[in-house]
Amino acid sequence: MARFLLLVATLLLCPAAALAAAPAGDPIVVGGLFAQSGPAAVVGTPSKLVAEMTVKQINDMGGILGRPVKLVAYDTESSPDVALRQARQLVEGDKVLAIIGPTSTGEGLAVKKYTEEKHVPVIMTVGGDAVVAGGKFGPYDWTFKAPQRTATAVAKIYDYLKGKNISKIAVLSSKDAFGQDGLTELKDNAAKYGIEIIAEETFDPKGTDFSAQAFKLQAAKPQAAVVWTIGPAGSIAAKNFAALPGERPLLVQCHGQPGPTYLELAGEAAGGTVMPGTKLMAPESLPDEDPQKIVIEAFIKAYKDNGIQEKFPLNTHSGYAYDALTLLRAGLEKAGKAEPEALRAALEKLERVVGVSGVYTMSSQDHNGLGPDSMIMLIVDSNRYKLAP
Amino acid sequence: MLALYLAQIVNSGLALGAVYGVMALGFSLIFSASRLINFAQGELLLLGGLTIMSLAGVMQLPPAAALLAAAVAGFVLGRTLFSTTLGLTLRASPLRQLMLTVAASLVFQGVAILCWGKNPLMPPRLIPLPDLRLGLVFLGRDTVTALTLAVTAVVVLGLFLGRTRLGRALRATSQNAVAARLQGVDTVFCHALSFALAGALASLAALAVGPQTGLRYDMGLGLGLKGFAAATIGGYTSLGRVFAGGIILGLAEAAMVLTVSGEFKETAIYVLITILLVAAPREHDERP
Amino acid sequence: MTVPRNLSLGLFFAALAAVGLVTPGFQLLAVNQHLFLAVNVLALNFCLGLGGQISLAQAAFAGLGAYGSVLLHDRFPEATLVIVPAVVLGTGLLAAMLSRPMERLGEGFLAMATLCVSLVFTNLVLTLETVTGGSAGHMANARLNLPLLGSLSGDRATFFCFAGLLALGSYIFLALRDSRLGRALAACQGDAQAASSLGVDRAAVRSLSFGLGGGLSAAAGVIHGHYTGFISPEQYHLELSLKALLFLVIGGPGNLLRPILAALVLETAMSWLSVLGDARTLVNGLLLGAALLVGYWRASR
Repeated sequence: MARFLLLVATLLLCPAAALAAAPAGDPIVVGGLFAQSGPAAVVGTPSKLVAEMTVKQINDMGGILGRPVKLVAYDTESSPDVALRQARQLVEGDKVLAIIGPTSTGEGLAVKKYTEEKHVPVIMTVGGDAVVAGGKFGPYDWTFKAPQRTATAVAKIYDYLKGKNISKIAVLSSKDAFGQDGLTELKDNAAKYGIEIIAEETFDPKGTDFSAQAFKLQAAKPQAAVVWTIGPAGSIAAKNFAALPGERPLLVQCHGQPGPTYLELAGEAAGGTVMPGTKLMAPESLPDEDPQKIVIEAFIKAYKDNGIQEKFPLNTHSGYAYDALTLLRAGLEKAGKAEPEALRAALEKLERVVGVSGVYTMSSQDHNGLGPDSMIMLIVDSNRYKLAP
Repeated sequence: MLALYLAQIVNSGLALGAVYGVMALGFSLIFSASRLINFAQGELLLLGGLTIMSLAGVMQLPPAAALLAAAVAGFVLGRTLFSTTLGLTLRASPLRQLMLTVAASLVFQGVAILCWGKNPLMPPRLIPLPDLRLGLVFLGRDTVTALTLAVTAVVVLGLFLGRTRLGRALRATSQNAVAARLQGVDTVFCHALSFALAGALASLAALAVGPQTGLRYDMGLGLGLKGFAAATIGGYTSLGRVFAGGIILGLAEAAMVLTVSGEFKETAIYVLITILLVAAPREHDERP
Repeated sequence: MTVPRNLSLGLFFAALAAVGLVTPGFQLLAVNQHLFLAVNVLALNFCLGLGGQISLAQAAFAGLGAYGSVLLHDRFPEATLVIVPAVVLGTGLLAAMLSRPMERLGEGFLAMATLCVSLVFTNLVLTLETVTGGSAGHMANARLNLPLLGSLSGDRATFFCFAGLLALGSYIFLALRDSRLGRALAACQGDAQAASSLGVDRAAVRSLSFGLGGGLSAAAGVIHGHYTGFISPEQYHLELSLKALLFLVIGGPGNLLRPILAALVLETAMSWLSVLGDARTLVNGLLLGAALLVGYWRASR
């Protein structure tokens, strides 16, 4: 099965695939929700470009179930209200079969409430776990999520720290949905790995300096400090830690940081920091037998060929929209027909679907399908990402 | 241990306060001349910083040239802001003028998105000041730059406003525009000048703030709010007091984080500012 | 050409009702979201249009309404008839109390003080994570339950709630403006010291206008929160206050219909601008700037 999927992936990304039979029949309409303006646009805009690129590849390859795919994408303006409005437009106006996106966790929750009631399969590209967590966030029968869970990144970090014999850590998290998610998961899973959180602080992600928080955490003498935020705030925190006098803890960033922007903004302070990331961040380190290697290499090539690299240099989030569409495609092919209920059932049973961010195996409980082995620990060494020893 | 904490309050407080202070200076320049809160102040910094960054990309900019270029770029930006907002609506209600600066901030953001994209950008450090470590006190390069720039600006602007004919005209405009006009002061020119100076100040500040936080299209409002708060603490009118307001705000934030927690910092700061505004024994009545 | 006030009001609400009856459900959602903003514009009109006081706290009052009602409904799902009036009145009272000490402040300081109210609200929601869900937000599963009418949900029902609220607010606004109290407020706006010396209790009348505005925003927030089904701090952020102020200024504070129309028309236009892609923010700014300038040039001619 894996070999077959690998073959499919290879063909999918191969330019020669243009020779494949042209898709015919009514297009399968897929909705796209991406934050192209507002604060989340840094992630949302490249997601949209990647989604368009992927849809084109799929159609060049003969479409899905022999039918062409049509992507209808709207801008969510980084706002839950607008995301909900656009989701309804997609479902009730454009009659889409399924939705890819949106970008931020708040948007995701607002959309999810509606799509669960309407029975529309949604494969989200949001960072937060809330959308597939159940409990107080409601059922998630129709909601799937392509990026790794926060808990997965936490597990990866804790595994790494345990391997380094580190048991006392401090946590610095941003006061937004992403940071809050990270802090909760770090706390919930600490005992399982024998790790103790001896100090924690929060900061405003729009702030300009977090040296007071960094100092306070350092004063508790942790062996490692974990910073949980997305965007430029992470690099400011790195610089603030680097400027502290005395013995500094090992600085661990979360999976929201890996990418050239972090290196650029943090400069020399980035050196020696470790963080979990997708394998996209260190393709040269992958062994040949890794099923993702060929997918990732083809993805990077297409990313560059389509000119997205110039505007948004490749980072750890770049592959999520590709993965969401890959999951959708695999689900439809497994279902054998383009119907919501069949698609939902098929998505839940997907096994070993090779994407850019990992190899997905879903279940009715797990609507993400990625484990810690889908991530790698990276270390910044002379302004490059390398596999952390 | 206590000494360490106190030193850290100073370190972090100055790092925050220097940024708030330079933002507040720009606010107060425009406010005192035109009675207008400029919501596009953060965007002036953004566009000024991005312009200098692009300039530095194509040519070698020694520190003096960088300062000059930043001042000129900011001056032009500020003047443009004036002629598209206040300059068009001199007789409009202050609120309409205020809202025009909000619209202008969106336009500036739009320009930043179209010309420089949405990714955060890191401008080069053009002012090569070193880190400063004096015993327990440590100031990062960017903080040293911001403080130097701000103090120089306060002194130079203070001299300009106090000692030159033009400066006195500017002050006269700020105190009573009608009377100033009757005395032959070109008040429109003075308004325009205050915008241009605020723009130059914001652009210079970008030389310090840019390398500290990176430049991103949506950074303006966050910076602007803190600058606005600092200017309020300083009372808007006197440059020295306004800058001190920024430093006080920074120190208060740092002290709050170190003694209590960062968790309640923002809430407490804003509550304090409100109380300060309401309770301060100043003759606020009919003032700003 | 001048249209009598009652006629233009009647025409407006008739047109609004027609929109509500004809528009299909999913497009009505957009109308409802714009109406939410329009009610906030009207609420701000009470403080700014009547009393001449700027306020950037409207988002906080709307947020208090939404959070208050949704969180209380989680505990007492059947108590809509108690919760909604309590939340609306409570927020109104709070707004009135907050405004009393702020009455003396001049425009700049008042803007800062009310802006602080908005920021304090947002930060409290972020900090009190166990109650409010923090920045991740909170799912609003409970519906508004009215006796006889049953549970209130759906686009059209919500539309008529918002439209009704707008009509009620408009009625109070007009009644207040033409009353003795309204003239006292107008006097405060015209010349505060003269008003005081004529025996107007400035703090009292202005806090009343502030309180009414706060209550109206809270009511809008209640409907919006339950309707969206999800509440988070970013929905009731400072941006909402700024937008309300922007549209009120475009339409002219003190006018009843123009600001509401400005909010509805410009918001709709701006939501169509998404076809522009990256140029969107720029064009948004230009559009709003143009609207402000057109209003100014029209008024000065």
